[in-house]
Amino acid sequence: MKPTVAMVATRQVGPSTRMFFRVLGVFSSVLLGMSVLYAALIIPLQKDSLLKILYSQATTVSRSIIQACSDAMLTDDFGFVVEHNLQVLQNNKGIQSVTVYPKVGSAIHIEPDGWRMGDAASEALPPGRFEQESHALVDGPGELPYYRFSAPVRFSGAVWGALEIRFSTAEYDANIASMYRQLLLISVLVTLVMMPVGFYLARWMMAPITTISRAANRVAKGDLTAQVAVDRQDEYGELSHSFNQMVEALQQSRERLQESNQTLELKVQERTRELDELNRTLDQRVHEEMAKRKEQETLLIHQSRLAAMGEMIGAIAHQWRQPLNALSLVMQNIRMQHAMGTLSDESMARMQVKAATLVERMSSTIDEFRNFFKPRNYAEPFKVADAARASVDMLDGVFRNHNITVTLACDESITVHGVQGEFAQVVLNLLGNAKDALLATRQAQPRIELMAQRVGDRVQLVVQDNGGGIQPDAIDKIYEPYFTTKEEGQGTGIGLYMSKIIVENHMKGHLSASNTAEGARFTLDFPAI
Amino acid sequence: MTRWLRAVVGCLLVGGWPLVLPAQPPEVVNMGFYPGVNRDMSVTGLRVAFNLWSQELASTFQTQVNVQFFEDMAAMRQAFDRGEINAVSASGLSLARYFDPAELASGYAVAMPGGGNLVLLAGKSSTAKTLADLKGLRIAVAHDEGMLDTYLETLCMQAHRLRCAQVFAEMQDMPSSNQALMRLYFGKADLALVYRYGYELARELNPQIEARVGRVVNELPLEGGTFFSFFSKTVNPAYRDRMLALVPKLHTYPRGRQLLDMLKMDHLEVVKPEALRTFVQVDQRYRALNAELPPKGKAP
Repeated sequence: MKPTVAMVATRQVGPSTRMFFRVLGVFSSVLLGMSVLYAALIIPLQKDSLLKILYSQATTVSRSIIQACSDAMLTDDFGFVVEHNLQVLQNNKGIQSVTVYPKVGSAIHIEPDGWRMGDAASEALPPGRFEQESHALVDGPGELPYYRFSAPVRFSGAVWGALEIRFSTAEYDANIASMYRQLLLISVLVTLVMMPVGFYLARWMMAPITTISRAANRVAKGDLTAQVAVDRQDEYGELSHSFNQMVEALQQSRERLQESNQTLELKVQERTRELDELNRTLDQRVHEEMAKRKEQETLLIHQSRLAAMGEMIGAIAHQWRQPLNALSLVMQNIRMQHAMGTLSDESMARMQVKAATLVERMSSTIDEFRNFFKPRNYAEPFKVADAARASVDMLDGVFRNHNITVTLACDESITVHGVQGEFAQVVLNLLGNAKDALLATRQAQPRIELMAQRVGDRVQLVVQDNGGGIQPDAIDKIYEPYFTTKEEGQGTGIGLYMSKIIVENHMKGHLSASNTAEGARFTLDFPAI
Repeated sequence: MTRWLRAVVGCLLVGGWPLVLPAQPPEVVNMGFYPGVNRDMSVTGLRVAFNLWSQELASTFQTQVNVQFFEDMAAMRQAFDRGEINAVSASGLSLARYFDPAELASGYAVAMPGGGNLVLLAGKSSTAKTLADLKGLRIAVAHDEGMLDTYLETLCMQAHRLRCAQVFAEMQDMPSSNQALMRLYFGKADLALVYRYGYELARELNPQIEARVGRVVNELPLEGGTFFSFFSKTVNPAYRDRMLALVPKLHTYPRGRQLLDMLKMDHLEVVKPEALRTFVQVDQRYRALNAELPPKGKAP
């Protein structure tokens, strides 16, 4: 379970002795390790030395036996060999047995308490023993260990047989045991002597740490007056000095922090008062701001409408130009025929009808204009095709005047919810921008397309042209109020801003702009009903 | 057992009993010691050993033992006659030749395990079954103070009317019974003349010996042992009796056991001078048969 802050906070904090025991343990382990290492190095050497002594003794005994028994061996006087070796065994308690292996004949095995002749097959030496000397410590199961030495017996270079002597390893074992005891005793003594040394060494090493640890605990509990008095010229002294400096720095930081806290507290109180005051007036200001914004918006809409009206007036002027010209021609024809005396009642009636038609056409333009800009402030379902068509008709004269081809492909069944006049204003604005772009780029075959279709539960109205598109560095700014790419005096810069407000805020739709290969493309997206 | 060790024992036995006795009125034992002819013996070594023991006895038990070494029995005999010595130590044959048992008092004999009988052994594959079969064979004889040689000569003269040198194809003088038996065992001899205790010891050392060397052709029983120490009849009987009473217990005392172990002796036995009778008989028989035969070197 991971300790929580609460647990850490409540856990008793005090100087630990683990490090002390670790140092002591390391010291003791090093001592023990050195003793073991020493033993591991020395014991094999000692054993080897003892074996060499055994070997030396064995070779000496072997040579003395061979020398003493040489005549007897050569004359096969085995009685003398036995008698001599019995004496050797009785005089040398360390020798367990002597076995004589004549190359021809049975082996003779002699021990201190007797001797026997062996069966040649069972007592045969292993191969090679007649050729070379061998020696080994033998420690087999079920018998006492012994040192076996065997050597060939040669007379004048010829091998007579072999001699095997078995030595008791009691002395050897005793020496080894003595060596182990001495090593153990030395280790114990060294440990006993060095343990206090280690203890005081560990304490000398750890005392400063403990002192610093205690001081640190006091500091942790908040007592910044704790100081460590470790007067040493080593790393502990440096640590102590650094600790004291750290505590002093902490004390100073605390004091500065307290001052800052007080200052901050005052500032917070003042700021709180200001915020309270601000809160009190916030609602009022919000209302004021909202009213201001609404007023600005209304103003912008009015400005937009006025701008649109200006556009329309231009459009009307375009539409009235032709009928007025035609009416002027009619009146000139009437005066000319009257002057020539050829004005008949029939020609007069024909010219009257033509004049009336022209006047009616001009009047209908006024009605369209008036109806277009008749304020209707409530939202209602309306057909997209009708609103779009009205906007197109409004600018028909302008389009024909500039040879701009306008195609309208709207699903007549599409219906959206909103203020139809505002929607028509948006379309009108988009058509006007397209017309201006086409005129500015002087396209050979200027073209504007309107397409309205239903896409799932949405309605899309697309207005696109081949006027070259929106400049890349302006496309992110086109919806900003008073932003325009037209020359000064040619545009107000609020058309798209207002269009976006109408589409997104009033009609819960979305207005987006993009460039096609030929021009600009505006997409209006609304929820369908 | 080396002669000098036996000498030490003799000294100790005769004069050393105050080791185990309470303080007694001081006695002086003047012992004549004849170690015999022994290639392993050093008279100097014997003298040193005796001196050490004498000093210990004198300081501890206030008993004085003076040991006088003799290089021949004749001189010992003369000293005995002059009263210079009141105890004699020598081999049985030596004592039998120079002393009449009747002029000696009881003493001690060295008892060896197996006994001191003389044994003539033949190998089991040998053709010798009786004394009549000895001619032309090889014999190994353990070396002693002369008893074995004397007895062998007696046997040869009795059976073949010839001396040993003329009976046997080869006579091998071996330092010990064990070595003589070894010669027989390894086929270097056809016969071996040894002491019974030597044969028993050899069998103990190697039981295989009996399988190859087990046929006794002849055996001479010897009472007691082969080495004796007798008091003179001039020694205080009470003192002598006290000594004699303690002899059989020597091996029960730590000091005594130590001494016996050192000399490889089993124990001591109290014997009367009559124990020399067999030695006397052998010697007399030998002299008689020898007198019947032509002198050595001359054809029979």
